[in-house]
Amino acid sequence: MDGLFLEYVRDLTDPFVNPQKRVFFGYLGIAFVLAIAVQIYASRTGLRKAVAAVLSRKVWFSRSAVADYKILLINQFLMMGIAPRLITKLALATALFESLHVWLDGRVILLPDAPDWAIAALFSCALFLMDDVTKYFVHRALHRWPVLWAFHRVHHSAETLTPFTVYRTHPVEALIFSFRGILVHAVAIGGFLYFFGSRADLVTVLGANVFLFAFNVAGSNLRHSHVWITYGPVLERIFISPAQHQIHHSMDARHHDRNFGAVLAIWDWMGGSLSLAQGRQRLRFGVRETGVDAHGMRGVFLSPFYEVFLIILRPLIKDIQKMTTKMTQLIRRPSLTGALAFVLSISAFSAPAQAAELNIYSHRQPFLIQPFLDAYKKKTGTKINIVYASKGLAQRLQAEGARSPADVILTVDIARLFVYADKDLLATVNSEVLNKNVPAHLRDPGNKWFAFSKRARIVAVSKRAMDAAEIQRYEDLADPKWKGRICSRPGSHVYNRALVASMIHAVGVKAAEAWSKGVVENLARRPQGNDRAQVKAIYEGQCDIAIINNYYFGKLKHAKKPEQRDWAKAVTLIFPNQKDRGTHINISGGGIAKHSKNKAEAKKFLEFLTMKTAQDLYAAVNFEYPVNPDVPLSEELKSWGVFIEDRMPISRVAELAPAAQRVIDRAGW
Amino acid sequence: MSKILTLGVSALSLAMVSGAAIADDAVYGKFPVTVKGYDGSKTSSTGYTGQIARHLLHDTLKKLAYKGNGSPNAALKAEMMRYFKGSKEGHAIMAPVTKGPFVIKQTKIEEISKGKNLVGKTYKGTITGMPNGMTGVELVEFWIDKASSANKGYDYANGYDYGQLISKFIMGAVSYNQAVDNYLDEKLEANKKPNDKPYKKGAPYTGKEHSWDEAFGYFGVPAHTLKLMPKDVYNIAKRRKEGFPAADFNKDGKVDLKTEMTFGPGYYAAGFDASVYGKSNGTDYLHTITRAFLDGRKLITSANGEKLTNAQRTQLKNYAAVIGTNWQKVLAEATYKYAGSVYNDMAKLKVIMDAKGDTSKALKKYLKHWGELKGFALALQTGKDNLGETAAKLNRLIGFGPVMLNSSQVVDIDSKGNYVRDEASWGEYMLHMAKAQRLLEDKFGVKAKNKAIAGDLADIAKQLGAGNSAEND
Repeated sequence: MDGLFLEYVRDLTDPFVNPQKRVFFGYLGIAFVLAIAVQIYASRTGLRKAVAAVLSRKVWFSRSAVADYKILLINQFLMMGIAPRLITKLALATALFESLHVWLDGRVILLPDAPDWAIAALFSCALFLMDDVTKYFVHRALHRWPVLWAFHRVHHSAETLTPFTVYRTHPVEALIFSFRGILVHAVAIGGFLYFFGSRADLVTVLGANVFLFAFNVAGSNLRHSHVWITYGPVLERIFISPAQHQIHHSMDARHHDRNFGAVLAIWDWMGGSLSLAQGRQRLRFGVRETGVDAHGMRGVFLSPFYEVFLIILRPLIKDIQKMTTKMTQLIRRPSLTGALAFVLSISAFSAPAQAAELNIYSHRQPFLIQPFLDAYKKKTGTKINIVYASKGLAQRLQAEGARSPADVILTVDIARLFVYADKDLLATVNSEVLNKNVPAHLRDPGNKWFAFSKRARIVAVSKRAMDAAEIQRYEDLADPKWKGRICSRPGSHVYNRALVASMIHAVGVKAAEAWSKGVVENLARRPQGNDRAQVKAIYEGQCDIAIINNYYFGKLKHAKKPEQRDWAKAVTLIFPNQKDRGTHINISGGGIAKHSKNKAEAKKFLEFLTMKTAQDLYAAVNFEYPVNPDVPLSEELKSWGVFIEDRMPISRVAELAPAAQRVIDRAGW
Repeated sequence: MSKILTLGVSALSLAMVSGAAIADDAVYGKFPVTVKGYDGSKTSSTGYTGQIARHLLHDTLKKLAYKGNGSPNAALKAEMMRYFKGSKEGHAIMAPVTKGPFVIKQTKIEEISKGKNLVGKTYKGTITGMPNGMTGVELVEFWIDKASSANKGYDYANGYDYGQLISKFIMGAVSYNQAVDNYLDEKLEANKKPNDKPYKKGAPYTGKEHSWDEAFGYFGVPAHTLKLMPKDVYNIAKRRKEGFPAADFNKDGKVDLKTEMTFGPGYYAAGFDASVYGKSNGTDYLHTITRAFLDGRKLITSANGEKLTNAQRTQLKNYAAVIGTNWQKVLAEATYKYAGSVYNDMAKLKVIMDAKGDTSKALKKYLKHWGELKGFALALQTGKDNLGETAAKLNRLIGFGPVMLNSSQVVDIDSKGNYVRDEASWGEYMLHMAKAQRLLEDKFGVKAKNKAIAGDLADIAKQLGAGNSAEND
């Protein structure tokens, strides 16, 4: 308890000894001297009278000022509880610093040769400007938005102004200020450290930002006072003078919503809310009467909540009234409600009493898998649990060994599927259905894995580059005439590696390597991004030709974002090697986990994936081709072009993967 | 100023060294024989030559890892295996060897201890940070195989520096593991290696004395470490000219590897304490660990060959805890530092790549640092505590290989031992390094934090003061 009290006292006294705070005794002292000087000059009085006027009991012990002190004491107590629960700027800055690595793919150091002092100056300026402009916008919002004004009104209810009026703040508003400060500091620190490294440093005087120090030394405390100091019409367009802030507190309607700025006036100038001081004005401070005691603590702390409650409730009451009317109408339609009840009761009873369960380990993203699971559940009532991970599932299964709960493995790309067989993690599946529905070149000769869908690795060319439409074979991509016109994701990606493996199978390692080197020579930029990014690059004119998987075109063509649909519109598709071996295809597929406890159910599920319902879903969900030769192509896929596929045994692609990787390494793809 | 201070203190320590003659309170020296009924000729019960021999097997194995010519080399593999598994023939010491004025007394491991190997003392548990659930022994053997066919120890396609991987891993899987998970753990129990019996029949040391000595031996510091500054101990490992007078405690003009040399684990502790990595660390790992070892040994000796009381064993366990905690921190500091180095290397490489410059030198450095990072990260997981989620996170962040210039990364090893790679993001991997540092800071409380990636964030955040404020305008 004693500790808590001491902490309270320390928090309360800290602002007076901390030069980062407005009421630091040094700044107060300067303000006091300035106030006396102004008093002597303006009222032409002697020193004694001037001091008496500045220290007037009427000001310092007015009801309004006393309320300021009470609010300060209560707020400090509340902030002791709230502050530790706020997100820290360090956490936020760290998150930003880290995220920038992903957004900008690495680290970017700007102005590496600039001296440290210049970066420190830049940082201090940037921080000051960000701080000031955000203060302006927050302050503006506090006045313009009724819900926020309810809280900010507390500050404006002060009728006499003293430097301590700066703390006449409702706790909700204090929270808003805190978030603003944390956000600005975090962005400045995280951003600057990322772009400028450890050279980011603050130029300080007595530990305070040099700009804020200057502002406070220049008498910032007199903003909340009755001492009239103006800067003149020119300077007041740049800096907010104490008089301008007093105008901001004025009750006069002409002065409402003027001079939101903290230090700089330029924001108000640009935002059309600037009001110059223009000669001594007699101002009355405060807000119009609302029937609440503006200086009583209950009024100060609780009435804003009541006001907000009313602001929110009014439209809500209207909505509720509307809804009630609609509901009444709905209930009067017996046919609809009856149908609803019927559907509910059917679905409640249709689930089998004891549903079977399947556990799936999937490399495929959940949204791509879910429609299949839903369809299977609908058909059989089997409950399916899914574990999704883009990486590391094979290692997980291996580590789990016989204890593994996995029944079914689903993955994309033959090499990734092959890993499971290579690590002996799959069970042999004897199924006539699978053997019939999946062509022999698309399944494991040992019946451990099966393909369920096919995807073609095709060439997308820009509609603007008509010459590129003459490309007919993958081999053509190595022709020097395409120099600087091809985009590609990194060669080591499984899709590209599979393509190289198919080239090795078709033309041998040497020719495949020469081809890979030729492609790399023709690249317009360093291999980067995914297949979608290559189409985007064509749209943006960075290149004319890209190697992509067919379904990415479909995803872009039907994307929710209109700009992505524009990317798709920018390209036409070429299915290569139609006059010889056919277009390279890859698969999505799966198998049954070696230690599955539900092998029979797992087999049923795999068989289901090769039947018409599921095969159609592959096209509908992800624009993939069916493996089952009896299932016709969807109209959409047909419209992109019917093609002959490379019918090499897909298992060879996996076997040749290490050789393909070496080719890719040597080519620097 | 700091240089003058260091010189002064070094001079002082040298003066102290030269003044030291016989038994010295601050030296892990010749403790008397306390075994009841010992009738042999030995006058000292101190002995950890087996551990020194293993440091030498390890150092030479590392040296051999860089001898490959880029093609499978059965002879080199056999030679490396001879140092890992031991053999009846003698083992030449290839590292450390005499370097200029830094004269080393021994040239063969057998001059120190005979019949020792590394394999028998290598961590037998599963290494979850590498594919296929290999044990510690299997992993070293896998790397030896790869190193023997690598080009001077490097695999530039997959991104490995085998010498660093093997060396840093063994610092954990042999030295750290044996010390903290064996000698300072179960061997401290009452029923294990009791103090009222010789360690083995006819031995001049008791069970507890020798167990404790063996743990000390694995730390790998000169017996007179408490008389030296961390920088001296560091210089000794580097075989620097100025390190020689610090090492040669008995003034015979030669450095005796048995008692006067610094090896891996001690070298890193000394490095952090001496702030050799660029900033004032304020750590005291070297002396804290050494002092705990010395105090523990004194306590055992004071029992004079009697069974240790429960109170004595409790005190001994306290010393063991100090050693274990600080040793773990040293490994965490090293992992932290190399995550920072890897990050810096990646930033440099990106600049070179963007300018289409020659990356070969920077790449080699990057792979070296990555090998050290991975080796230490795995070493950290060979202690007596199961690091659980922390280990899983660390392993995920670091992965099985560095992200290569063509944005690929090893994601698996197939049944034939081929590395399997997949596409990886350069930027994301840099982020992983920052996150790995944050994880190490959170979980191990590393203090030196050398090569901190986001280290200045905290300093600047502090400089800006509290963001929360109720000030109104």
